[in-house]
Amino acid sequence: MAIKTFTTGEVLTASDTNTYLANSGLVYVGSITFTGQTGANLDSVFTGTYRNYLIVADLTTSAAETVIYQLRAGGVTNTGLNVQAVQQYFQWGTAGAFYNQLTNQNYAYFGYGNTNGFGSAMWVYGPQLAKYTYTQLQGSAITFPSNSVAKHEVNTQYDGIRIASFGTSTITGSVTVYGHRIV
Amino acid sequence: MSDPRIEIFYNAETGETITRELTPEEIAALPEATNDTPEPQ
Repeated sequence: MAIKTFTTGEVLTASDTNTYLANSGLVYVGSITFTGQTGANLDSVFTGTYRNYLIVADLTTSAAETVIYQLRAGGVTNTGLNVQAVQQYFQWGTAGAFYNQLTNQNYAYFGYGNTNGFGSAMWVYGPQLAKYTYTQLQGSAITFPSNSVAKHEVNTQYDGIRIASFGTSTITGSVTVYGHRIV
Repeated sequence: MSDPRIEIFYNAETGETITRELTPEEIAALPEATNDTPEPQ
């Protein structure tokens, strides 16, 4: 059982902590806050401790710009053209959705930013396993809010991620990684 | 000559954060814009 309601005066024991707090679901792994960088690289965030991860980002770009992500392994950014991605995006005030697609690239969508910022939350499924890695992203933005999915068709065991502007804009904000605990 | 790409590197295992320019090898490995770039159409 992962939930317990403690009563007034009840003692919180080490066993309670290990059972109920450690089974809390999302567990903080790491975070960075930065200003004016063309990219942010987070290494050693995907480990054998957790199977799936949630990345939450609150970012601003210095100009209207697509922001991408690439997976990393051992401090090296993926260069293999093994990423397929589909993006569904919207325009405020315009009915319906629009679509983009990436075929055989080494990156996928992370968001679309400008000086008013954007927010993205992305699940990363099994990056540390010797199998394909899948991602699922939801992003809200001043210009093009979007949903996107990607598959990394290689059995590499990734331990990091690079989030970067696709062009020359700089990025400011924070990125936090959580591990999803499996009981 | 284009401006250098300066990125931040964070290691969750050590807690270390550094900021540096990308190496020529890292720049050469950056994605190139293609017809299927993620720019909304």
